[in-house]
Amino acid sequence: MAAEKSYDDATKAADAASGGMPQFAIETWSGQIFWLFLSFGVMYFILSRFILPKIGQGLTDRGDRIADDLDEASRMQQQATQAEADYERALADAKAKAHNISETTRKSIDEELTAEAEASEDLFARKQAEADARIRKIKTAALGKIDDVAADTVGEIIAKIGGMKASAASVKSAISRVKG
Amino acid sequence: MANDPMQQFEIKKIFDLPKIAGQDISFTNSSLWMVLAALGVVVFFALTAKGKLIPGRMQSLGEMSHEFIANMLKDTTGPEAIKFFPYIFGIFFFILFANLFGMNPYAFTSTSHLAVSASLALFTIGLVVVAGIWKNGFKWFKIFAPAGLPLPMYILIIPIEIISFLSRPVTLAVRLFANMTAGHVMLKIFAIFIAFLMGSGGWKIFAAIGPIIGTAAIVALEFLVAGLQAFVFAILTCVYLNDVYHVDH
Amino acid sequence: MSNQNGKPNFSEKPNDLKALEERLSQAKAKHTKSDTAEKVDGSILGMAWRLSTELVVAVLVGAGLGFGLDKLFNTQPWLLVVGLGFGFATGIRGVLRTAAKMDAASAHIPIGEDIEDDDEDD
Repeated sequence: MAAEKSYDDATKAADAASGGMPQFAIETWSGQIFWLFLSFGVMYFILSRFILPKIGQGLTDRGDRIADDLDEASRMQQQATQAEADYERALADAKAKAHNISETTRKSIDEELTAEAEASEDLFARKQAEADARIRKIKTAALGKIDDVAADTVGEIIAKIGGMKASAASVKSAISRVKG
Repeated sequence: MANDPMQQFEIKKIFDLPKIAGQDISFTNSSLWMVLAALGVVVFFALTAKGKLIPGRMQSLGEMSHEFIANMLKDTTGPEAIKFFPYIFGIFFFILFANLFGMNPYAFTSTSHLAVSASLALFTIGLVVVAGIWKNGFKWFKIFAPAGLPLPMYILIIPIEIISFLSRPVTLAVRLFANMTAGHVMLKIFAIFIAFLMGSGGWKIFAAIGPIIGTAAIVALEFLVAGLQAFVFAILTCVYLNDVYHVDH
Repeated sequence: MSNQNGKPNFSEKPNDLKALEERLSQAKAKHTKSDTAEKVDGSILGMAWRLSTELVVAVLVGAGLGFGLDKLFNTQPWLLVVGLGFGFATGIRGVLRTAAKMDAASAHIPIGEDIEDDDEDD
């Protein structure tokens, strides 16, 4: 800084008087204080009016945004949990319902089957009874005829062997006596 | 350049200005570097104040600084002191920039002058007094007389409290000024010594290696001190601001 | 009518939903934590710096006050002596407090709070 002008000789003398420390050269103080106030004052004004509010605003905005995002995320997370719970409940319901349905169906089929089985058993028993009855009738009829045939045969045998004629009635009674 | 370690603190006029009220307010090297420090702070933080949602590197720096000072004030003084935030921010970064700019060998360290450090200190303490009275009225003076002591104790305690309070600006001013001055004097003495050894030729050139290493160490230390002094000034300002808010304790 | 087959396994909470919940709570804790300010580091260093000048300055201020009052009341040198005494007392008290604070700090008591409590009345 070649262009710098020194304080005048009186200053130098004062310097010497203050022990050679330029810091104690009082005549320079007012200038320093003036320029300190000016530079610091202007800086303070610009900082406090324009720059710091902007930085601070940026910080609060980001803080708010992050807080909002976190809230949103946890809200969605809660929704997801809720949805999951809903799903599980629905699943359980469906399971229960399905179980019910299968159970009732099974029961009704069982009942039907039983009923049908019973019905067919009845039918079968009835048919059997009918058949039995018929068989019995036929048997009886057949047995009756056997007696007739036997009487005829016995009468003919008697006629052939004895040459005598036995009445049908007597033969019959005789047979039934033999048969006892 | 004379071999005078104090010469670096000499104030030199760059251009004359008319006197105001008999006071010489000419633009000097000190003025230049104070203006540059203030300008540096403004330009730097103007560059960081982009207000984007996703910050870039510069914006992160600005936001970190903002939070650093805000937390310092909140922790030390309390959240109610937030209106002093710009002042603390300004104090810290003005002193920091002035100190750091002063590390440049061709620069002038304005904070190494008592007039500057004392003005800053007086401004800080003036702020405490004015804000304290503004907020508490004359009850504020109770900070000099803590409640609940036996009466005779006040004869002792009140002068002590007053001296303690008045010591604050002095401590602030002296600490900053003395630290910055001492560091630069030390650096200058080492530099002069190195120049002397190098200039005398012969084997002494090699002897200069010691002071060179020493200088490097001191330079590193001085950078630390530059930051530390700005921090101490700012945090003590926060501490002193407690007297605005905590009168009845 | 069997629903035992092909049923997606949702009997447990799905893993990704659980993980999301965890991550969310973590993120929230982190976000709110940034609000509760961290204690300022480096206060101990600051205290060390204070210690160095406190005593001298207090003595000087005490002496200066005494000197000024002497001039005012024309009582040289008595108030200067009294001022020196008070200044020394103030300095000692300050140093003791700073030392106590440094003790407290090394005993891991939160430094920030300590500063607040103690300094409001020094």
